[in-house]
Amino acid sequence: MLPFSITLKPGESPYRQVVYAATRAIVSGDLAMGAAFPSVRELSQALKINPNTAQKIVAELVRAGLLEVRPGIGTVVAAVPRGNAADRRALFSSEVEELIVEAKRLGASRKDVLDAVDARWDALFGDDHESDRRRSGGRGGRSGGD
Amino acid sequence: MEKTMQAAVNAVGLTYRYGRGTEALHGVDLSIPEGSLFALLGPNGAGKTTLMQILAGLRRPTRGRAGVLGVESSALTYRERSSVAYVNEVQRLPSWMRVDQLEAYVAPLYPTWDASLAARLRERFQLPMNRPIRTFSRGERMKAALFCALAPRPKVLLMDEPFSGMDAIVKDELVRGLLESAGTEGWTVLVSSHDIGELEMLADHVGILAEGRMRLSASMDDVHARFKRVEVTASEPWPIGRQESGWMSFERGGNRFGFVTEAANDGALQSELSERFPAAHVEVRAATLREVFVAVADSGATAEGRTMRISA
Repeated sequence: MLPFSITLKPGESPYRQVVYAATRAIVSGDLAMGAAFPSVRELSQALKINPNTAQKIVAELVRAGLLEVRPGIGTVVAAVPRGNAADRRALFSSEVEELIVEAKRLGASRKDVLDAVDARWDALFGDDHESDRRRSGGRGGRSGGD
Repeated sequence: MEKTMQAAVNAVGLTYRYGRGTEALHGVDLSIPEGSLFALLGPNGAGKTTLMQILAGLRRPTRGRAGVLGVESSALTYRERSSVAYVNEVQRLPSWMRVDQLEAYVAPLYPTWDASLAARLRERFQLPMNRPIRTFSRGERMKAALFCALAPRPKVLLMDEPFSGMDAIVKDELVRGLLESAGTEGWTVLVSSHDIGELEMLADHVGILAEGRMRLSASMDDVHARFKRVEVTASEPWPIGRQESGWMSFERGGNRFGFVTEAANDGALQSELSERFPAAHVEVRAATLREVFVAVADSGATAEGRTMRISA
């Protein structure tokens, strides 16, 4: 059983889906710092994905600074690195723009978007003491993984 | 013997004719990089089994060449053959043997037989140990065959329709057994299927064979990036049969139509279509492997003069 929740959807690369799910679990604190992360073999068998893909997933999470390789122990969750200002600017210019364009296309208002971002933020990090905003709110889905 | 390629499995211009009759394969090219898991998809009768048998050295191609591990398939020596495993749907196993007898019989044939892997596979597959193979179900037979194929840790594993007719539990065991034996390097697998099933997540390369021709051969990343499923919903019904070249698996019903197409960029495709159908709602998403399979296998048939099916 994996320590984070994921249901693979067809039509999208499993690599991206798993990297995203693991990143989400780590930044939201569902996977605490120092927690063991599944090995390539465990990941591959639990999700029934190609071992090469599992290898790429772990390598990417290590590269992103979310996982840390401890010799003799395995791979563990690292302290969540704060992106630098440039990373944040890049995120705001591309992903946020995409979100706004899509929202506009669907006829959503500026307020709809801001409310949705707020609600989602709360759902993910509602009880995260380190986050800059604290509210009581519903937790993000943490249903059983495979 | 000639070293042909870097690819673990490779074929150039393979043509195969049964007697004077039908050509099962027409000029098939195939290149499977070492370390990848290649899903060979095709409808029944597409030529998958013939291709597998040629690669395994069990048939000589009418024209063209096939090689495994840099050696012509038809010239594999006994030693080389032991690093190439071939498992098929109608596996012949000595029916009077129990699994322990089968193992004692098979293991000495392979210098690379891995006893501890064999033990893990026996457990993973939950093979019955106390009765002969002739009493095995189809699923148990396939598991026994795969057990023999995997335990020697072959460098190349050719599996013809291993999941065919298996229930979900057996499929799951087969996949996990397969992954159990996955080495970290140099493990190349070619698995054929007429159904996508578990292969979408497992494969990193895919080939689509239809009517003896390889219609698509690409990495899964490519497939995920290139093929889009489009759905257009309008406020009024569309004129019948309105569609264009490059729209595969075109379907329409009432106010909606949908198709699969190749496009590198979701956004560009989205805005192009939104511009052309300003009154309609256009949805673009990555096509699933199943959708790509149907589209590609079918579009070739159209090119050869078949009537395009338009479902209402």
